[in-house]
Amino acid sequence: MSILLMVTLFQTVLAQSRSISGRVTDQKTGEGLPGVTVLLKGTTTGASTGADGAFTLNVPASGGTLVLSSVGYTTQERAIGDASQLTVSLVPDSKQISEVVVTGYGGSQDVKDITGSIATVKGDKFLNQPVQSLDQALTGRAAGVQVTNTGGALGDGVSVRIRGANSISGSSQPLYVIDGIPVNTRENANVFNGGNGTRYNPLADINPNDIASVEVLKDAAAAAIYGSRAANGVIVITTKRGRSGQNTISFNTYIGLNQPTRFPKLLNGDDFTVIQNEKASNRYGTGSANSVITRDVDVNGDGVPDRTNWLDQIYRNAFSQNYQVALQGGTEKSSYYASADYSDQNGIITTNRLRRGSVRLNLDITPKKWLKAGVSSNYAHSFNNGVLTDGYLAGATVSGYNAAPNVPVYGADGFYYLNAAGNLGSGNNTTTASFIANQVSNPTAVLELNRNANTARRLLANGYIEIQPITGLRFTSKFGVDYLDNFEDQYSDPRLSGLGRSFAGLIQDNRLDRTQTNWQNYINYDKVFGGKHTVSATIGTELQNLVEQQVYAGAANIADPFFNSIYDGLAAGTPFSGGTKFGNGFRSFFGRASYNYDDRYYIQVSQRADEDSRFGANNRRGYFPSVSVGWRIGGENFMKNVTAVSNLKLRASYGLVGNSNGVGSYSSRTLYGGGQYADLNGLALSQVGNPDLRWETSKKFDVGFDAGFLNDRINMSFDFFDNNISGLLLNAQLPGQLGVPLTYITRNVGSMFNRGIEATITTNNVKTESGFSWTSSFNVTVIKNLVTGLNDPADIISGVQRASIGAPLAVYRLIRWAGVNPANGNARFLDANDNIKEYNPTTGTYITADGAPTSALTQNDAVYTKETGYPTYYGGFDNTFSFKGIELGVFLQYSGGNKIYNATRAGLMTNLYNNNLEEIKDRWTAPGQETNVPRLYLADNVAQQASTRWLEDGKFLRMRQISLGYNVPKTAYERYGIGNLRIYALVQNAFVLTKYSGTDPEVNSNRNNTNIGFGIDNRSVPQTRSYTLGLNVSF
Amino acid sequence: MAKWLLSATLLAAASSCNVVDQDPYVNLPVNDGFSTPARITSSLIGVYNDLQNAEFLGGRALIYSDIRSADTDIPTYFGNVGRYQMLSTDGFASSAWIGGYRTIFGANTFLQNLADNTGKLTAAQEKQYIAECKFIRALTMWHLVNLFAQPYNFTADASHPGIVIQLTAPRNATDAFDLTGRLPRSSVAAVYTQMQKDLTEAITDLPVVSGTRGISNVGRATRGAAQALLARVYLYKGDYTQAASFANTVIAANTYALNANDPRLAFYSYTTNESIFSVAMNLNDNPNTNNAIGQHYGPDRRADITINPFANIDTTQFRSKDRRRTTLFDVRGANTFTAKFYAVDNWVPIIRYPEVLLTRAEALAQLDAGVSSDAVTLLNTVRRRSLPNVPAYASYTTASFANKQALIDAILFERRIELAFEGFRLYDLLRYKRDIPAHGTVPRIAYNDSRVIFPIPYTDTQLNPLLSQNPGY
Repeated sequence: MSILLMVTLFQTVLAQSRSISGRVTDQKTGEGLPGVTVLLKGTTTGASTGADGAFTLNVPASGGTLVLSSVGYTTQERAIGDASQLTVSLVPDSKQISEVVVTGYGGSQDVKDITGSIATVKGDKFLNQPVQSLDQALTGRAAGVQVTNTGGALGDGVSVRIRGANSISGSSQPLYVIDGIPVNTRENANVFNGGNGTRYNPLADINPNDIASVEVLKDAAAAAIYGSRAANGVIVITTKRGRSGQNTISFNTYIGLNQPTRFPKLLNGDDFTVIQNEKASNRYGTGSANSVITRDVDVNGDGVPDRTNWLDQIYRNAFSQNYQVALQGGTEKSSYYASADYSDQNGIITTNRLRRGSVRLNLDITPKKWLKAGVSSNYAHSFNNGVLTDGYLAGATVSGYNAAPNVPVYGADGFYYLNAAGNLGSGNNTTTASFIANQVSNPTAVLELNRNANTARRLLANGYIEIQPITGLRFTSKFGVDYLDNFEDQYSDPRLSGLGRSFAGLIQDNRLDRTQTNWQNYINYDKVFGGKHTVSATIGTELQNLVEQQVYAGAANIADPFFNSIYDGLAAGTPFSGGTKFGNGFRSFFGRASYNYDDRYYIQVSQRADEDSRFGANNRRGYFPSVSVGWRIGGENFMKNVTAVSNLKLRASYGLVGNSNGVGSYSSRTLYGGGQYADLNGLALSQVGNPDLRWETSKKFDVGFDAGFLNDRINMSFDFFDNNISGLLLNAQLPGQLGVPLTYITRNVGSMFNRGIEATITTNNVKTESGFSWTSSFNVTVIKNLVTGLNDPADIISGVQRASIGAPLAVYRLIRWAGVNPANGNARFLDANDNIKEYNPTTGTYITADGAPTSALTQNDAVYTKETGYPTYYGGFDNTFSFKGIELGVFLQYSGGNKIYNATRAGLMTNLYNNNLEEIKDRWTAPGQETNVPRLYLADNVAQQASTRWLEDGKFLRMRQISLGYNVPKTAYERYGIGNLRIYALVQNAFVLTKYSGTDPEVNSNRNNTNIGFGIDNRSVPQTRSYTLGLNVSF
Repeated sequence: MAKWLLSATLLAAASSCNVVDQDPYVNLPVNDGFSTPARITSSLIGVYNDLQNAEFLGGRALIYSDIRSADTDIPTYFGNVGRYQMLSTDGFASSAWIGGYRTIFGANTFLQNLADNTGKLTAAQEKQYIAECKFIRALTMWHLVNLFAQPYNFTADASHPGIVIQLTAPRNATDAFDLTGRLPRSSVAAVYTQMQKDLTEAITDLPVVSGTRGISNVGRATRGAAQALLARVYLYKGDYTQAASFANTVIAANTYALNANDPRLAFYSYTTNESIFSVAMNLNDNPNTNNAIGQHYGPDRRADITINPFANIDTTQFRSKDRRRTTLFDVRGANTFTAKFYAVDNWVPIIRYPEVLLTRAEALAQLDAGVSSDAVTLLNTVRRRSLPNVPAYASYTTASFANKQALIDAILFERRIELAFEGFRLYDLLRYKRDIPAHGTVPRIAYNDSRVIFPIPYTDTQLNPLLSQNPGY
């Protein structure tokens, strides 16, 4: 050291030195490169570039050469000459910068070496997106990944299907792995109302801004290392980490406006009156006592009949805001990424609001050359003001759509307009129960007085230590914890119908405490022999344990609506409490080995053995092997001259993976537990077990190629996949007469397949000298599903859909609608033999097409349609146009081949007293009239029964996102030390092109509860359109 | 060295963990539920928990009779049930079928496991527990057969389809999926034979009620309860001799009595001497508060069911000062509610003493070629308890009735107002081949209309092809 220093000093004295300054830029983007080492050749004199790529250095008066080097760039030398100002552009090193893909358990591979099917979505697609959880941001981004946003309520679960639904009774949701640790698979953190009340998706606890990349592992080669959890695919999320030498602070923020995309078209007050009264007069005769059931009312006495547009009451335009500060950087021996964020999102339903704050610290240290260690940790605190929507009389989209538009929101006393039972007052309309479709809550009162909140506290953390005893051999031990504490808090106001009124005010609280721990130990070995034989191997173990405990308490008969939490002395009712607890665990051994010769010929094998506490004593262990091969034709000599083809790789894989997602902790057991009878304790059987229960097995085959043309201006990836699932975990239905609890027993029977192709094409369409460029990425998936075996020949039924042998999953079986008889306005259906059966509501009987009396239409007349609720094709098309720092993104999403059963419409075309859709104005009124809406007839809904009348085409093209970003020229702010400044605006869900008549074709009212009942729209909350304005600054 | 030592330590620690053997925290293996006398007793209580089924005898089995009987308005809550417009896919029909058989499963499971663990209880206790299960099974079958099948006298020999007679419970998946175990519906005659058998056997081994009443002798089966239920079974079968005889046994035992001058008390104090058997409830174990009988009827609860047609019965028949009018109506504005059910934890009355009195009265009236004076006496006993002593409300004498039929009609009317909303009205109409009067939007329904009984759930007919569907569905 001292000698060197002396030399330097000596030089300083001897040589005339001077100072030069310069800037290093990226040749591709023209932007300044931070952290570049600038060294005077042959000396130790050097400097590092700043955030904007600038440097200054003392150099000899003349001559000398600079050496500029940086990770990911080709090292460059530049003679200084006499220059005092230098600008150097570094060329990205295609070899060095090539993308590395995380393959799990310490493995990572260069994209060019991958033999499995993996889709990667980079972090910039998650940055500042107006979404509540990262799964929403995956929509349309990757081939083979179908993301269905189930509705516009905040925190709603998102249905993710990788290469189709892979289960029938189990869950088809993929496994999520964050920084190497599998996370909580609970789809809803909330448990009230059987988990179907308000929703809180645990993935909402992860700040999308912290994500560096997401990899979707789709085939067996990629996923088999996750064994029994891999059949639905694996989503591997890597969060951002620090890099040495580049210390930056970034600040990201956006504000947004959310609005519903489309409303149902409900009748206004005048039309409502006409229609309801026509129903009645058609039944009872004009002028009869019951012929007028709806009359205006003027509750507030302003001399004008009261009118309410209930949609205005339940929906709103709402603001969102999001702030994040992130620090990133490091030194040679340590690096860090730290962030804090706060987000406040208001939903489109009045009172729906989700606030989240989170902090993250990712730290890596290298205290010894052979030792590396670190942590990844995230703590999130969320407060969700949930709302009940579909499925509940008090739900916003039930009461809000059913409510009469000719009564007011508020009564003459200024309080909500209510009747004696705590429902919406009926004004001068009918109160005859047999005319009324549903009791209707006052939608505004329910939203404003009742409470369905939850507070989630989530710690997601892991620590690792990596030991490298000899070069190429790494031993890693990683311990992770996923801790969720969810406090659910429900209040039902005593003045409103439902639980509140029944219990004179009711508060129910549930605390869910879920701890999942995971410990992995694995050894990785990587070595290149003889320059051409690349070997890499992994062996390891994984242990996982889960314990969930819930404790609930309730208070009834409250002193005053003011005291709407559980407080001592303020609720006179009998207090109640309870709880439950369960746990499960698994233990695995796994290994993976890959070999390639000269980066041309590849083979990889893996094997995993999983043992799972949930499965039957007879079948607790399973083995999941896979093999894959690849041939990089592009590396062959004979391709060197084919300049048009810059890259070409063939790959194929086959393997066995399992699925156990959705299986309860004790599904294989016969359970004998609580059976309380009034004040007496008892024990009773609650589940009949199946000790043979095991995983369902997917045999996944994939063959595909990756190719690049014209110097990678066009890149494409194509896959054919065939996923054969056998031993499906079926909640095999039993006839009710056996009395078996739940009326099913879970067994491994049944089989189905998902076959299809997927393709991704990324192109640089235009690149002009002036700096204008247009790049695009298009992906498409075409999929065919068929159920090939079930428990017994009988179908498994979920509403109007089925799993049926020889038909695709979720096939509709329905009575066929045959329109309206123009002569009399009666509804017509087809019976099983294609004969017309016409229903006459006056007599309650059926006639044939020629007027002869015939038997009643029954379920035996229902037939299988060829339609299912699952799209058969879907994908996305992303375009980026850029010109001098301005970037325009246009992202389209499409899906089709499916039918949606519009149960919202079926319910809102009712012949009972209830609000209706505008469609009902087309009802038959005069002989000869051609229409699809039968003559109105009060309190008879035979014509509205489930039939193909409500089945609609579900295909759509959505303008998922339009974004406009501007990188403000550095000259404007460089002097303030700002490294980068970007402002942007985006519109999410700008529009959707569809024939579907409901609010949105992207629906799934049954959420993830069923794979069969997929594609039902039953008063789903419309999707949200959001306008966002944001800012990224880094220092 | 350090690096190797550290690696080895971690590996050793990891391999010593066992996470794959985990037992439930809130459940026992079935056999452990019968390991001690105390646990066997708890298991028996568990069968009553199954009887509390939210979809069946937790209250709805009773409601389904009354809301179709023209004594209530057609409730919105129950959709197409009250409108006589059910389809075979109707959710209420399906839940009722499943709910009833779920209770029977509980009883059968207990019987099977007790047989496996015989000798752990005293012989007398064992017999009593078996008898309690048989009572529960027979009671559930009675409601199922009335809900899903036409009455006994629909065909001359009752050979029309009844319900499935399920006397065993699947113990495991193999049993449950054994297709040979999937039975067809038996005839109504066979169902009655089975109920008679269960009840006859139960009567011998059930305890006799004595002393103070509580959940253990009102909420659990007793000899009197089994005798009373058997009397009901014979009455519905039209075997009046047996009906009169078993009703008389209950009356003669002198353990039950009407609450004097107060028809209301039995619904507010569940364990008076008037209640023979009820399904007990409390707030914490009510299987589903939304399904509680008090929720549906209670004006301060869900208030689903109003009883305006019942309240509008002519006061020359249902007298204006009748205490069942003055104390058991809850008038709220234009609507009248029954005051029998009003809270989430209301017990569900299954057998009350007045029913036994009226069963004997009806049976005697039927057996007598003329006007049975004993029947008139029994009728007066029930009637007078609710009628104030005013001259206008004279007691009946044999002279009050022109003939036998007039007396029977009076007894049936008394059943209608005394046992209102306790699940009898529709079935009483049907067994006398009487049409259901027009009410609300429902036109007059003929007694033999296929819609007077529930459809067999569509799913079940798919899963068990032997299960025949009711006509019209």
